Amino acid sequence: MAANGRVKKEISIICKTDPTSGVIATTAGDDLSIPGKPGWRHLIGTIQGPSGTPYENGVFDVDILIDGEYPFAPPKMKFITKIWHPNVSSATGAICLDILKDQWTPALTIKTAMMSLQALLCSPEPNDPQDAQVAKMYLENKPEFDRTAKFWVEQYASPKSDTSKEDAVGRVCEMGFDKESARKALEKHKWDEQAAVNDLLGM
Amino acid sequence: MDPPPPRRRSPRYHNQLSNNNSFSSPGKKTNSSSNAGTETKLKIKIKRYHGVAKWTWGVSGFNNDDDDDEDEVCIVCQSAFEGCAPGVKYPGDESPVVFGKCKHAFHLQCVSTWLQSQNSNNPTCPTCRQEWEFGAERTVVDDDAEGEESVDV
Repeated sequence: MAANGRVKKEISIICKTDPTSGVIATTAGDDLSIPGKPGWRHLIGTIQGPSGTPYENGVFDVDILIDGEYPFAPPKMKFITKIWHPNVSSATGAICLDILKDQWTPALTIKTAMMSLQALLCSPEPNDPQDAQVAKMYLENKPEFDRTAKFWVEQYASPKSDTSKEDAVGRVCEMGFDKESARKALEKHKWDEQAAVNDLLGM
Repeated sequence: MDPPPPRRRSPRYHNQLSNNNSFSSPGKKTNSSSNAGTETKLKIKIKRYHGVAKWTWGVSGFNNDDDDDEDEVCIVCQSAFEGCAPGVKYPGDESPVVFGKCKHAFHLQCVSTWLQSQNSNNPTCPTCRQEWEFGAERTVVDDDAEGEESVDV
């Protein structure tokens, strides 16, 4: 572990609320550390969709893995929330961003990397795509791209209101699960009912 | 880098060897009030003192123009230049600070790990991404501008 002190410092900064940046992270689960991987850290980042883009009002979760090479290798980041963007795989959430690959330098931090992701939402690079299908739509039919991106935000990246959460718990309960485990499974799967039910069924 | 000699102050206190009973006779007023504070007589006897020196790598003013050594950190490990690089026990000579030709400073260990990890014939500076070359030598002016000393880098 090259710079444990730095990682600790960074985590305390990125987990603090900073309304100006629109990015924040929380520790994934109860424990930051990963069994069998001393020095590795797992975080869940949250990025507000920038206003003036199709991603406005969306809230995007990003999986952040800090391995033992950090800060000499970039943090491993991918979108957990599904997003329609030329530089993000619509299937896996994999991100094509130079600073997360060969343009990484140890002068960058988890926070600046997350802010770069936010900037990527503002200015897609369709000529260096991660998802060729999305990039093609962006270049050939921008209005349709905007519509699709917006639809994906509504579908996957909109924070659920309390009443719609209660409705979801109710629907899962009707399938024969108790309220407590239904709620837990829904929270675990970001209120994706299908995924929660599959989890409860042990699938 | 040798620490600078402690700064000397002209002695302002006076030994009270000849006036041993001054503490035990509060009723007896000294005439300090008539001196109007020009010279304060402290009834203190200096038995010994320790000289304390503070050193820095003198990085500030080189990386940027503000003169605040305290907050200067190595951008790689994010700890103070005057502190230890990761994995090093002692600050100072064991955690030396080095400069690139681009004038950016890092702990030797930190920048070395980065240069090796790049796996390239043309490794770059973490800060400015220019091709990295160790700077030859730099000159620092110390706080009191009493003279110049050079730091080998």
